[in-house]
Amino acid sequence: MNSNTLIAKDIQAGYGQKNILQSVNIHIPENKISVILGSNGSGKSTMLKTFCRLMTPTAGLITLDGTPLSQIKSKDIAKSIGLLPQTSIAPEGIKVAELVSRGRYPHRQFMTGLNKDDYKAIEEAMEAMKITELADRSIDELSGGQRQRVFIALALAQETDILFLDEPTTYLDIAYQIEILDLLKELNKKRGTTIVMVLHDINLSTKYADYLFAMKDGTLIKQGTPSEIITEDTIRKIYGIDSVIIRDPISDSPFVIPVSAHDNYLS
Amino acid sequence: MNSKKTQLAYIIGISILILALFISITYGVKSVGLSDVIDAFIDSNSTDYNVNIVQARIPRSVFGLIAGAALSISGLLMQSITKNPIADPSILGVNTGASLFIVIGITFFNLQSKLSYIGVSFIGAIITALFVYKLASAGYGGPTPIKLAIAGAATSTALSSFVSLIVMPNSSVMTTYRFWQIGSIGGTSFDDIKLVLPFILIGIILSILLSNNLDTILLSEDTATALGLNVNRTKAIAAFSGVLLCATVTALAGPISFVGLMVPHIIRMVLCSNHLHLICLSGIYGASILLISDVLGRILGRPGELETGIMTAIIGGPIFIIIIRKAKVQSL
Ligand SMILES: Nc1ncnc2c1ncn2[C@@H]1O[C@H](COP(=O)(O)OP(=O)(O)O)[C@@H](O)[C@H]1O
Ligand SMILES: [Mg+2]
Repeated sequence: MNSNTLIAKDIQAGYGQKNILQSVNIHIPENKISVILGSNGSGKSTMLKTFCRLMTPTAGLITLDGTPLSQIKSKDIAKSIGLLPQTSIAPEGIKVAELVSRGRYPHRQFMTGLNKDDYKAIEEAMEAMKITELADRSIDELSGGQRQRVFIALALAQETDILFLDEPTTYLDIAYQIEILDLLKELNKKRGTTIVMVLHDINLSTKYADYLFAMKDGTLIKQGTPSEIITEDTIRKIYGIDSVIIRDPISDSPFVIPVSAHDNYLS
Repeated sequence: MNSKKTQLAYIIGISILILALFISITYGVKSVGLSDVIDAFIDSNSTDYNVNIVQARIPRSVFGLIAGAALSISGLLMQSITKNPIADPSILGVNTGASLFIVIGITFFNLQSKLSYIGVSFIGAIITALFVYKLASAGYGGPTPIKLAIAGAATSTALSSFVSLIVMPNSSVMTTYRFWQIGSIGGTSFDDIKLVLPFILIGIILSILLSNNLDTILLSEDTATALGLNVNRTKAIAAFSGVLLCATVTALAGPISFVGLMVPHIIRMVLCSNHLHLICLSGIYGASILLISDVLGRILGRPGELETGIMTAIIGGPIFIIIIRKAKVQSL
């Protein structure tokens, strides 16, 4: 059985008294790559955290294959849903392979060392992120792009059918961004992993995503394929800016060109 | 992973520990030889003077071993759950908290048994640890190493003055307390060892059972939770074990500082972050450091001896300064 149908019904969540998510309904497209777009503070991370039960919804219900998350043991959820948080930290001086091995936590029996399955998963995760050669290096010696790949490998070693990634490419240069997104795309194609990620680059989103979700002020204002929802109107709604939309000459996906106040362009 | 280095660390550690134990038993105001030690084990009823000296020193050495291991593991646990390289029973003010409660117990409630010392010591320790951590968490940036050090030092000072306030006017308490105030393993007996052993074992076994969880907790809280770890429960059990370990030692030996700070830190630096090994190695090296400090106290203090607590402070102080300078730029 593939456990990967994740559905949220009317969920609300927030911090203390402050409610952030306002009645969000979402069915995560299985075996697809979805990207969540939205301005800073629109609640994207909050939504990811709620799905990965770092936060409990104050109202509504999230179900995994029909069972409410609250009724599944944390370790069992962690075998189905993985997360790369917006910021990751690692103990100083830890070796890459050892850090990746931490992803095996939900699979490990009480008080046992790593077994054959664990080593296989760790190896595959490092191969998938092309960091096998870095296995014995200390995490402190790596570049930003390499570090991020290590942290993604940690989540991959978890061997989940669903993977959430919160801004996996932020702070990386364009070459690293493409590299990481390509690796994720390959993972999705090879293993059918359901991927949901937050990206800030709209044009990379349309290039890689099968499905887009647009968030504003804690609500989901649009969802659909890139061609369906990337319109000048949606971009204005999400980010409050004017834009012109053309076609990406390579992939034929929509390509957004923002309009600057200095452009003397009348839309 | 990295198993050669780890194996080597065990071999060296155990060798040092055996050596330290041997010196601790043989060396003193009156030194004895290996044959006396062997005789002491073979013939427990011997009336030979040297053999009797050995028999008298054994409890002290065994207690030192237990205390060093316990304090060191206690520091390790506190560092891991606070993700703070300078968390340690003495820095968090836990020792002074335990002292205050014991003094209150002796003075106002006429506590006599050592078991009751352990009880109040534990309560005092846990309250102080929580208080200091809360104090350091206030304001921007959460409980940073520096803030934790300041909060711990301030609390410790305040609590010490309460201790003085209570002890000064009570000359009878004063006499008992004077020995106890500076940590010393000098006067310990086999009965003491029997008393503390269950508590220490609970603390160490719990922490070993937690080792996988502690590995995971060193990642960000979000990652740990996403991996299915119950972060708060892990922290609570680890804090319980850490405080139990140091409160038990403190109740009998008085505050012995810096062991829990320097040993885990150095082992972490050299060997990284697998908690099963960190716990075992911290125990082994912590025990050695305490025994060596105790022996040095006997050498430097001739013809009397310097308390163990003074020696660990002399050795640990400079290391503390090095760690806190490094901690300014890095966390765990
Ligand atoms: N830990 C927190 N405590 C209180 N408020 C928070 C916290 N994290 C985020 N918020 C608030 O929640 C809102 C949504 O944040 P977030 O989900 O992180 O947005 P995004 O990821 O889309 O930038 C913001 O207004 C932010 O200030
Ligand atoms: Mg965010």
